[in-house]
Amino acid sequence: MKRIPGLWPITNLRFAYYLLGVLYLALGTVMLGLEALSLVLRESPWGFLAGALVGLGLGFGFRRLGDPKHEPGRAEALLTIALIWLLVPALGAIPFYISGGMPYLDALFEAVSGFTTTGATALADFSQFGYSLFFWRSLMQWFGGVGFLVLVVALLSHLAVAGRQLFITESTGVQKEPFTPRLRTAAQSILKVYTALTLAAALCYWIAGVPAFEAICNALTTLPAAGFSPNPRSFEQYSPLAQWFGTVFMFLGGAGFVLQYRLFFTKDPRPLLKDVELRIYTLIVLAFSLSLAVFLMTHHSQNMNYAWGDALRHAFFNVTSIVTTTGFASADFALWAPAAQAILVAAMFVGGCAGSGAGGIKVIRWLVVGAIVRRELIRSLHPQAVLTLRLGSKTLGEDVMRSVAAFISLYVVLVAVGALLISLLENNFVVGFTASAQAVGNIGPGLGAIGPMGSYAGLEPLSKVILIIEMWAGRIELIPVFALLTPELWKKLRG
Amino acid sequence: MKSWPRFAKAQAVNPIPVATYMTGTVYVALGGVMGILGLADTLLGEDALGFFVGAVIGLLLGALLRRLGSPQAEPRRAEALLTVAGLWILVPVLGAVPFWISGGLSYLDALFEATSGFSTTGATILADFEQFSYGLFFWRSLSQWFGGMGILLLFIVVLPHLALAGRQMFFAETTGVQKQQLTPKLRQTANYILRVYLLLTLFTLIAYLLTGVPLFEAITNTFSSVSAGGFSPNPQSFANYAPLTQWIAAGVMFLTGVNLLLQYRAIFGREYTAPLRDPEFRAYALIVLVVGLAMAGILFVRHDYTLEPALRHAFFQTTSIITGTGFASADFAQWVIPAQTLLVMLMFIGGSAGSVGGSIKVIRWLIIGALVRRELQRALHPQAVLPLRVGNKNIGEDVMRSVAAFITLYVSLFALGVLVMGMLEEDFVVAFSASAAAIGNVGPGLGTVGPMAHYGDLHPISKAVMIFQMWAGRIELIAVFSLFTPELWRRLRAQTRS
Repeated sequence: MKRIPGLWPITNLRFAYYLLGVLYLALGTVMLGLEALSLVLRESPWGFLAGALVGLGLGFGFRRLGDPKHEPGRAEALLTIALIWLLVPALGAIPFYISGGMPYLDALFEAVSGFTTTGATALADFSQFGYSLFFWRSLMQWFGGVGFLVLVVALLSHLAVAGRQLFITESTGVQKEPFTPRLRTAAQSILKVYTALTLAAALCYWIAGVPAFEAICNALTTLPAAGFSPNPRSFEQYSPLAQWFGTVFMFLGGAGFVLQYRLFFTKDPRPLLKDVELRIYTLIVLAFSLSLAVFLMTHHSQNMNYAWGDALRHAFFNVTSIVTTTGFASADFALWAPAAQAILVAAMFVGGCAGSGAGGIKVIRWLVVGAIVRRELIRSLHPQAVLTLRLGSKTLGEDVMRSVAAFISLYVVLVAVGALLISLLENNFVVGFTASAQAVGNIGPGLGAIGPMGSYAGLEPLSKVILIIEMWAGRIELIPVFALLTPELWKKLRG
Repeated sequence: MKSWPRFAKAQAVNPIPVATYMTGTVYVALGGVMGILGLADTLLGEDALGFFVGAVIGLLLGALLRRLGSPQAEPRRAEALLTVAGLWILVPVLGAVPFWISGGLSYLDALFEATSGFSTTGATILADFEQFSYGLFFWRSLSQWFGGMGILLLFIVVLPHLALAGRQMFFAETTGVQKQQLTPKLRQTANYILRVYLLLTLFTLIAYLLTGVPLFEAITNTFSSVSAGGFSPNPQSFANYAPLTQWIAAGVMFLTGVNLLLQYRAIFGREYTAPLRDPEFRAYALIVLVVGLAMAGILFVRHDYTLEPALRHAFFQTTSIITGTGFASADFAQWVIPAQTLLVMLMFIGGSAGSVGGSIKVIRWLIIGALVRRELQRALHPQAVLPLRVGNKNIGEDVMRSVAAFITLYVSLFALGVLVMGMLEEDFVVAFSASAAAIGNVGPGLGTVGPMAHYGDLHPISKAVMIFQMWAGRIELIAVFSLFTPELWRRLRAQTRS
């Protein structure tokens, strides 16, 4: 193809075009299948039809423009991740727009929230959507989880950004080598666990009395730590057993699939028990849940305190839901006492384990930061001492430490700027802060009007745009998005 | 004289001679000041018992500690950290006595008030301003003025020498602080700082008097202005003063957030352009200007302010919060949410590193910005060796690490405060703003702890948390957190044996 000056089409981006084309074709095909479903159920077929046509048409075009053999450079890889995570929701939003009776911005919000496994909904009235749309909503979260695990986790660790070089190396054996069969094996093993757990979750929900359709949809959104539910009350009306099942599967969803693979398929529990991150993750969930349970029993509200069984169940369910950034709710925690809400807001900043579909900062990064701080305190006593940074039995490189520090700074700044702008727009501090924190962390519900039983539909359009950007940036771990703002990236792409 | 040998023995085994001696000296000095205030208060016919008790405790305990300690030894790092952390909490412990005995406060409340004073925070638990005599108001403001002087010496002389929280490089070129060079240059630096501080105090006092502030309020407000403290004997803070006074105060507060060494060079060294070439000053001035104008816009559009009051209140409040002063020219807890949100953001910025301003400080944000920018470049060129630059200075990796650790500790302590107070106070806005205001040494928060309100109704545990935050936040955390490492205590014990 002849090289055309300017941005479009940058010949360096041929791999991105190819990948985008393949994904558009795949999504187009899926929407074609859902088209059949909507026809069978006699629901509005036009959204999926339009989506399928656009997807297949553009998919062919992009694939033709692209080249699978083009080895992507770093700049191209970063841009590819960023582009895909924005353009795939743009296609996925079409059915919501045409058949769901939503303005395109709301539809895009819903789709971004879907593919980024956030779970924040712009749907105010759940009767607006048919079964096929709800199924599509849940399915896109499941795909989003797969995409994150395969594309982001593998690619980011390959690119060694945001401290990712550390997290995956040991568990998958990915060293600084090109995309190898080894990585492919790791991806396959992750997908096996992911699929197996999804099936198990659907079955368990169904056994515990959840209607079959809701059981399937909820299972699809549990494992990627996503949180869309076709039921407007989320998990509130399900049986206690179903809620406990939800807690367990959310916990597993946030625990990292690579480690679980070893347990389930190689029957070797040792790496699981030795893993520092998993231990701390478990400890955090336990500590937060138990303290929340105490508050629910004693300080819940003026006239209704929970009995200890209910308190424990709601505490474990909602803490697990927030820590893993799923966003299901077994009760409307926006109505709880501020003390209980404070625990949940703190939990928003934890995030799951690095090898999972969970969003947020992630437990391991906190461990790295803790190690840095501890070392600096010791250094304040021995300024000349050469101290290595250790995590469990591993020694951390200075580059990992720098990346993690920069990542957390960007994360906090993005949350703060979003909170500021949304507070300005919505005139509400609690909504602004929790909306921003949940969006960057890909959690879903906030507090106040945007609580678990509420909706983001009432926000200002500009607030929705900010949240879309935050969900997008948060999901792909910020660095690819912020790299787009540096002139170097564009220079590299042109050169 | 039988007991002298015993003292000598105690002195010999005392593992922390310098810490003891310093505390003793400061206690004697404070005791003397309280004695004078007690006499003055007696002449005014007010209840002076609190001052006299404080004076007696201060003088006796101070003399005892001085005797137990020794000024000769050059303190080791562990002891230096302990001295800094110890002084900044033990001084308020003594300074609280007059509030407790004569002010009708419980000891916890008195300690809150005194910590808020010496840490130049300006958060008050005083619900009823009638409760305090002139003497107590004077003491309250004087404690801030002392606190400001103390913190300047700490920030510009002691912490850079200890290489804590990244301070080893902030003034490297202005003061020439090098490792192992404690005297004479440092003494000279201290001298410069105090000259600027006194000049600013004098200027502020005259300006307040000329614009019609009553004498007593002019003196006390001057003390709490130049130290970025924020205590005012007037329950309405600056709201009832003339517009010109408010403009002058805004200007003074702006100056308190500027590196004093730069001011020294501009005023005494006639290097008038020195501040303009300093990246930290430029960033600081830019932030004040941008936020001030944005806030003025919000006030002008969303409130009934006309142009001049909108600008005046906006710049007054911006400088007051960014420097951690905490004066109020209007009850900003009643402003629209966007204006309040801007103020909360300012609480996390702080003044320049070489000023009395609290919070994180502008230079640290510049360093974090440079770090993030470099990581983004590294995402593209992983093998590139890129220096970290702020302005035209190279930042060492050790400084970067210290700054990253500092900000992490800062945010964690802030978040912990929000969590604990959120549980106790059942009010998210109060918890969030109180925690930010305490650790940043700002003073007023929002909601029921706004500038015209007080912290008196908080849960005792919340007050204790805030005392801890004010203390740790003021001396930039590291000294306090190092107390929690077993390493420090092991070193102190080792010192005894040797």
